[in-house]
Amino acid sequence: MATAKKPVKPPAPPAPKGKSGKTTITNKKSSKGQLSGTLTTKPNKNDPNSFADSTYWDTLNGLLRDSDLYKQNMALQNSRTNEDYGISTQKLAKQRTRDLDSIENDFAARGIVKSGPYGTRVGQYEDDYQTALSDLARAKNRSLQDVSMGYQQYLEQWRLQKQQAIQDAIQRKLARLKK
Amino acid sequence: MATNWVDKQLQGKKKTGPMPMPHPGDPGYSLNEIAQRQALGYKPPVASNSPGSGIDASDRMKIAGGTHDIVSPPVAGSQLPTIDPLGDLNEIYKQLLTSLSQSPTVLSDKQIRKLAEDQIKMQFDPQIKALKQDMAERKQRYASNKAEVQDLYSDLANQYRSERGNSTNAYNDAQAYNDSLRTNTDAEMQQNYQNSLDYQTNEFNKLGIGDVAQVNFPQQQQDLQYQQTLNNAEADAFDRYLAGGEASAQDYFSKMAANAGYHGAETIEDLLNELNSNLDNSSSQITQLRGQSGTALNSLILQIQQQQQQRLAEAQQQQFQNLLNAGKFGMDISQQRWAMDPNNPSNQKAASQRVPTSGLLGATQQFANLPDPQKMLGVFQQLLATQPFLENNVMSKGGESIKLSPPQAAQYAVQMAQQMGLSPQETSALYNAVFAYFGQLGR
Repeated sequence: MATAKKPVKPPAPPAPKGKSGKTTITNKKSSKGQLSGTLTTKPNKNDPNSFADSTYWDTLNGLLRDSDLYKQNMALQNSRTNEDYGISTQKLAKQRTRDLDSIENDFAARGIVKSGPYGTRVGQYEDDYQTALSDLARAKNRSLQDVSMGYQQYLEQWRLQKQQAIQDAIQRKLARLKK
Repeated sequence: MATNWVDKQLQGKKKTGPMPMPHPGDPGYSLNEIAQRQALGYKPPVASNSPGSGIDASDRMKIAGGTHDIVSPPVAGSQLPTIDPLGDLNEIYKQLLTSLSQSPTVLSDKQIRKLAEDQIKMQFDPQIKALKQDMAERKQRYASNKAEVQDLYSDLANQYRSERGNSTNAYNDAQAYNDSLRTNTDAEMQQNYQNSLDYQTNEFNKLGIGDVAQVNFPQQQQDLQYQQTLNNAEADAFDRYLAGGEASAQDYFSKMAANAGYHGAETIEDLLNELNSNLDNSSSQITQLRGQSGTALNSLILQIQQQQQQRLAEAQQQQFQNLLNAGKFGMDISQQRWAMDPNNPSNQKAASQRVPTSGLLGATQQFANLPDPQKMLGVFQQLLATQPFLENNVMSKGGESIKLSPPQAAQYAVQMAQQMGLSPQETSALYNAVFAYFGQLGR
């Protein structure tokens, strides 16, 4: 009988880390699951985000919302994968019960249920069943890894977009400095 | 000097009759004299087109040598006071000569340079100062911007370093997730096989064919290991994918962090180049302005020198004109003196009884029968002290100098008499006096 394990939560994307007395951005989910953010800017000489301006915060806020949506989408995909896996294993288990009964009835009708050939036949069936279960488990794993891989790629793009937002903010800052 | 009629009246603290009240600058009156008259209660006449009113007072004072202290001349056979008119004319003459010695102020080269330098400084210094201030502000702004740029790119480098950490954390999380998938699946396979073996063992034992299990199980164990191997191989492949991505991310962010420093240095270099360009431009402008100021200074010095030369030339011309005036005035006095000189053969016959008919003495004869001859003498003295008469009987009209003929002078005298409100008898006497002065009475 297949045993379903509790799915592991995928890693969360990095959030900007605010320091005490410095610029921080916090994001909270509302009860409806939508993103709501509050921006607190406290100018500080040692502010690590000296490039940050309102446009940057807007962009970063958008990126954070996007990552949140991605995480929700990813969680849904994982959930469906696990759910499909559970359904499939359950179908296989039911089919196994029916098939083993059928095999037993077949051999009993022929009066050879207590024989080596019956035992061999059951063993072959169990072997095929375990192989099917393993294939199903690996397929589920691959599916979950694909989601994880997609998330890694998304994270990479997310970081690049964030760096681009920083670069843009720096260019805006430089343009203001040169005025 | 209290030798004129007004001063004499002032000394007596009484006014003896109607006396004209001149305007400041009117011919024949000093400002002091006008003030004295105002103190005695006289008011100036309403008419403004008095003779000589269009002539600048200072010029009149300059030519006349100050106040005109013309006194009453003695008139033979009259009650007029016997005062020597020539002595007072001499006094006017001396004042006229004194005015000749008054030359205009001449600026030394040093003074001219100082004057020009001050003017040039007023024009150029603010511009140069503004440019210097702009340069100082640009330097200050550069220092400030440089610090900001350093902060910016330092923060950018820190962001990249921070992303390295974030990437490592994400990698670790993903790897842990993959390991958990691997472990869970492996365990799940193991458990499923174990369940299957347990099921077969029970089922075969119930049927009394337990030995079959010994035939089946090795193959199933082998299949389990194969499945577990596949699972591990897929998990390992995913691990390699994650590790490759992480290594790439670490490499990328490390290089970007280092490049952030280069970007900062390049930006600061751009700012420095821009600053130097601006400073060079400003320095060039300052140099240009200084060059222009030097040229302008020399030009201005030359201009001031030319103006001074022109002014000196005009003053010399005026002085020369004054000299001519003085010379002719002196000649006139000499003529008068000669006319009165007993040694003059024409005066030797009957000098004491002779009634002069020309010149100043001849003119005064015209007032002898008037009620107030002394007043008329004063009027005539004023007339003589007016510009047209002082300028050797040459009067200026419309910028053109014309010779003042006796009829014109007489007409001028009539206008003056009307301005002063003289009676017809007095006006007529003044008219005749002018002709007598020119020796043309009765011609």
